[in-house]
Amino acid sequence: MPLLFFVMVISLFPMALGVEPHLLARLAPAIIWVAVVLALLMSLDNVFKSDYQQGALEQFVLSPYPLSLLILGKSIAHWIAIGLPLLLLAPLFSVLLNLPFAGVGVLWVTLLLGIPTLSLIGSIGAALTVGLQQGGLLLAILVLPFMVPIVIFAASGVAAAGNGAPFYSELLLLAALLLLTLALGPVAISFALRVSIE
Amino acid sequence: MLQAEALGCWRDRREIFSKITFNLEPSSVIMVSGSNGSGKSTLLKILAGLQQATSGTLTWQGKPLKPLDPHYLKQLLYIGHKISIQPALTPLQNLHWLLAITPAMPHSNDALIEALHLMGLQGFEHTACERLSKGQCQRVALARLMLTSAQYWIVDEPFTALDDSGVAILKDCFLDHLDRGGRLILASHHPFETKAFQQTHVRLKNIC
Amino acid sequence: MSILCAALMLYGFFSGLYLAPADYQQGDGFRIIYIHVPTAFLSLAIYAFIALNSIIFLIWQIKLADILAKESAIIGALYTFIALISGSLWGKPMWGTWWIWDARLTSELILLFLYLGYIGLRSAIPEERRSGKAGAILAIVGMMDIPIIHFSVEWWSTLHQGPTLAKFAKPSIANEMLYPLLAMILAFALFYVVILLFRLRIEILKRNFHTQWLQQWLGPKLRGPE
Repeated sequence: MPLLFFVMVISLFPMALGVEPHLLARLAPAIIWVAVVLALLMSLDNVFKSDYQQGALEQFVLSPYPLSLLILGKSIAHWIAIGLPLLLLAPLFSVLLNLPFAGVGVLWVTLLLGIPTLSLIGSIGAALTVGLQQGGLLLAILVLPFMVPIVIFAASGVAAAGNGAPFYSELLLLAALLLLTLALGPVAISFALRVSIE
Repeated sequence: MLQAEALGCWRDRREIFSKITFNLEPSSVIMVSGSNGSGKSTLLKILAGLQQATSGTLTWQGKPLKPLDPHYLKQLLYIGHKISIQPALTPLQNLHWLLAITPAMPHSNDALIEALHLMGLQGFEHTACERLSKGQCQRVALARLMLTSAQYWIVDEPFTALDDSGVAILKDCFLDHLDRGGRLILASHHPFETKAFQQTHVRLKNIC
Repeated sequence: MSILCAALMLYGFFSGLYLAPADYQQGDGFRIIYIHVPTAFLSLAIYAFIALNSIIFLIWQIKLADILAKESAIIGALYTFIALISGSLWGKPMWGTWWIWDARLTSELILLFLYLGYIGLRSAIPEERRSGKAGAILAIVGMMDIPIIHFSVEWWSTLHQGPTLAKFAKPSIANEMLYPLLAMILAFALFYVVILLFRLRIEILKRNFHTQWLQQWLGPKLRGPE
């Protein structure tokens, strides 16, 4: 479902902007990254929802194994279900949006580094809002500000690559953010989940 | 040994219960009873460590029990109101993942199937749980009891949705556990009387 | 309690009188910094204060810290909003446009989103303790993220615009202009403290409405609804 949404958002842009290739090429990194964020937000709303409703979260919390490891496992599963297909689809769409060829590879790397970061950050929000009414909308409001740096670095990296400018520093910053969230994200998520099931 | 000393719980400026005191010895039962909304599930959650009491202390093996102490969790089996059965998975798959993350005896696939058979679920091992009835899902959740290595069982309203034969199987299961020196904390409207084992009643009243 | 109340009143008068003489300035465009700079500075400081209280609440479970954090948020959001509006008003004569995607303004805008998210989360959770803990986690994560956000926004704005605007800020400031500014920062800070203490008192009364000491204290004063 989030993937279908991703496809539709992306195809909406040429319809709204017109099909002028230069314009599309210039906007392509932004369009793809905004669509990725929106698609992830949609999927994140459901990461913990059914587990919460069925009581599986209580069992996770009561497991003698560290909760953050179980959560990391869940995040990996989420990445396989959502992140991987987005990775596979994105190059296709960058061609549709006329992104210069040099940009495609960099786009791919930014997605590889950025999507797990976004989904871990989003999972913190999802863990805080699970079980609340209108959790979905609140989730978006909570996590969007936190997603700003990743979107900035990723989109500017791709744009730089498309213009033939250096882009390594952006990629390194994305990698740093990924490592940071990998280390701290699961811990924050497990705190949040313990609070949410009280 | 698990000891509760003057446990009390407030929520949103309202007292749910107070002064709950008991000792849980091997081979003994704590029966928690009370009308709807009297805080049975809250008390059970506190004993499991999912919530914290607002007053009073819990002592385990002579020391104050830290919330979610892994050593305690290794001894604990909690089956709450939400029985944690994933509707998309089959009973067998559900048992597999639940036993994987909670304390369990070494088990084979056959042992799981046998437990499901004992629970009266022959022929349903590979049917997705969303197609089973509520009572059948309850039986899947309770099949965990036969395979767990936990000493402390905390079970919330297990008899609801079960038919007479299910109730009988479950009671036998509890008695076996007590026989092996296990401990049981049970919240139920359904009577569960054992002559052979020590039984403490905790009655919660609605405080308005 | 009555002593605390009296102290509060005195404090309120003091800061009110303090605030008024500092406020008589008017006229020229630059004077808006007397609003803009204190609110912008305090908006960030208040967020840090919330995060600090959140840590205290999570570790030592002190309810007062939670109330402080909760009640600070709304004032912080208000200051952020004022900083944005005044920044935009300032931008009109200076830059010729109401809004410019300047790094600081953008960071301030994101800070406003963070505040609103925090307030939204707290009000969405009906139960006090849970709401406090969830909010605390959010505030701490937010505090860790603010430098990253700020850095990324700076990065982004230097990428998208020439350095002319970034260089605009901070001409060396004359003492006659600096002292009122410091006074205004102090005044806004005191205003925040006073409002916070008022809100704190109300919240404590609300949370302890059921307790005996409060019922006794209120007893003669309250009529009608109980």
